[in-house]
Amino acid sequence: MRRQKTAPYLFALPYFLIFLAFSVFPILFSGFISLNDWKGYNEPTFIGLQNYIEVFGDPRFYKALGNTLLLMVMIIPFQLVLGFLLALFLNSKYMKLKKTFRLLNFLPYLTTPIALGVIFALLFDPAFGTVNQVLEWFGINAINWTKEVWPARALVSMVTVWRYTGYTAVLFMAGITNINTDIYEASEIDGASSWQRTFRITLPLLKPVTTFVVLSTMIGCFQIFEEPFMIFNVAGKLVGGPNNSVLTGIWLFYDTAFSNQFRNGYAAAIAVCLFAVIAVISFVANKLMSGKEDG
Amino acid sequence: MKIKARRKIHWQTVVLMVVMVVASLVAIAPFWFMLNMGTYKANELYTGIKLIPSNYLAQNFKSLMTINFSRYYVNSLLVSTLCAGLTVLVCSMCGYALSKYKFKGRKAMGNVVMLTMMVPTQLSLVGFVIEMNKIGWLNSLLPLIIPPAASAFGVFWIRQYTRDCIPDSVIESARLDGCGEFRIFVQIGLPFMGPACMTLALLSFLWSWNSFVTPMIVLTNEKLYTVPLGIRQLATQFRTDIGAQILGLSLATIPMLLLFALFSKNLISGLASAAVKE
Repeated sequence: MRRQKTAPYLFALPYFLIFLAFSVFPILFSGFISLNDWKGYNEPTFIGLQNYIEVFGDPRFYKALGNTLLLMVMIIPFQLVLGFLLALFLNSKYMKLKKTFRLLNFLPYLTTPIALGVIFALLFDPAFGTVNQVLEWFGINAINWTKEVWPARALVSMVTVWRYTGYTAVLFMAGITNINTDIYEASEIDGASSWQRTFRITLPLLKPVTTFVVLSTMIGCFQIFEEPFMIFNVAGKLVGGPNNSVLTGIWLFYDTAFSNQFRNGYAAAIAVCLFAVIAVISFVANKLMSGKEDG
Repeated sequence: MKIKARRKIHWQTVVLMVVMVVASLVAIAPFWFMLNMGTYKANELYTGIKLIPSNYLAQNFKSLMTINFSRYYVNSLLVSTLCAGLTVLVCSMCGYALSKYKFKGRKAMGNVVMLTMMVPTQLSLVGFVIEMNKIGWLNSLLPLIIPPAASAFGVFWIRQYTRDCIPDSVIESARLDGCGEFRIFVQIGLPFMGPACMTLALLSFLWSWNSFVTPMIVLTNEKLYTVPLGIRQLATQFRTDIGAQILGLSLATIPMLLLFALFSKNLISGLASAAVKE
């Protein structure tokens, strides 16, 4: 009996050991570093809240926040609507080869983000890229995807939407499968059209999935890094893209900490501020979305 | 519903199929271009759209081998395999403990796991790198294998699965037969958890294989590079030889596509239900 009491602790021990050593400790340590002037090679000097005061006055920090909001607005609606439609179609009783299509649309999620950046940089190359050549067939002038502010943002949004739409669809499909079929049968007997069923039953009952997708996409937008990093690396080593237009939270953090500045203390302060912003935004979004449910 | 009266094709089916074919084409087009472009000579790539393969594959492969690409491959396979194995071990034990035992602190532990699922790990990187430096793990593959093994998603996923899948009565009767707790876990728990462990193994393999930021900051020794770092290397060293560069991308992506095409059946739905059940 005594073994039965100690067993669960022993089973959970490896996880919590690794978790404490390599997740909790680095977070606390980063918090401590953020209060220091530390460039990695020199000795840390304690400077209190100096780094935080600098973050609050740093235009690049606000730029990164603004870009993140813009990217959210450019990504979330497309990802939600396309993912939802895909899920509806894939669940339709008229659909054939469901599994094959589901797999094909899921493949983008599996790509190495870094490879994705290189491929999209080449496909969207202003001079010889496939996309501009196709646009030319339709008489549309070449778009300078990697050198101009809004095309660059559109490009990053497209990569993200392309990568995650199939994944979003799979989430919605699981949600739709969870909906009790009795509800549909009852509504069919009551003479509801398939439009009514989609908007009155499927959508409202998918609220938890939608909330999950929106929240994780919001958090994800702060973390967009690898794809644009490679796109603009290939297009000529531009940190943050043209005029910092796609500088995201993690990119700013990475650039400050590891790229050329090695300002560890300041980067840690940026990380803490980013985390606070992410926490507040997800909290508010969560409240707003679950609040609507009552009304 | 096993008997189909007549094979009648509905107009809805036709419309849906057309839409899905278009959507799927958009989803796989970049792969198609990538696979094809890797078979072209670099200077041919600047003209026209490449819809069919060419004959330069062997040459590109040769130039790719002039840098240590095969070595990066071996490193990545090693890291991802070990990481997946360790993740399954660590998370299945923890998830099993959280779902099949009643003990003090169980709720708190579960909540901690849930909470960490929400925290973007990149934000602690500064502290992580200095820690790695202090314990002498910089320029080793350990930071890519051990820290990710404590996957909050993994514990959550196993716990959720185990709760419904292993009947308590089976565990109870094994105990009455005098079976030790660890033996119960290995001989009864693990077989029941098999499918969930498989999914977790695949996912952590995928995440490990695709991981870029951590390897980039802990590895400076080129001999230890993983595939994503190799790709970054290609983008600078083969700036002009785009053919070889793209072949490198294809080689980096293909294992994942194969792996998931083979195992996708349970995996996609498993992944989804884990997220939705929350």
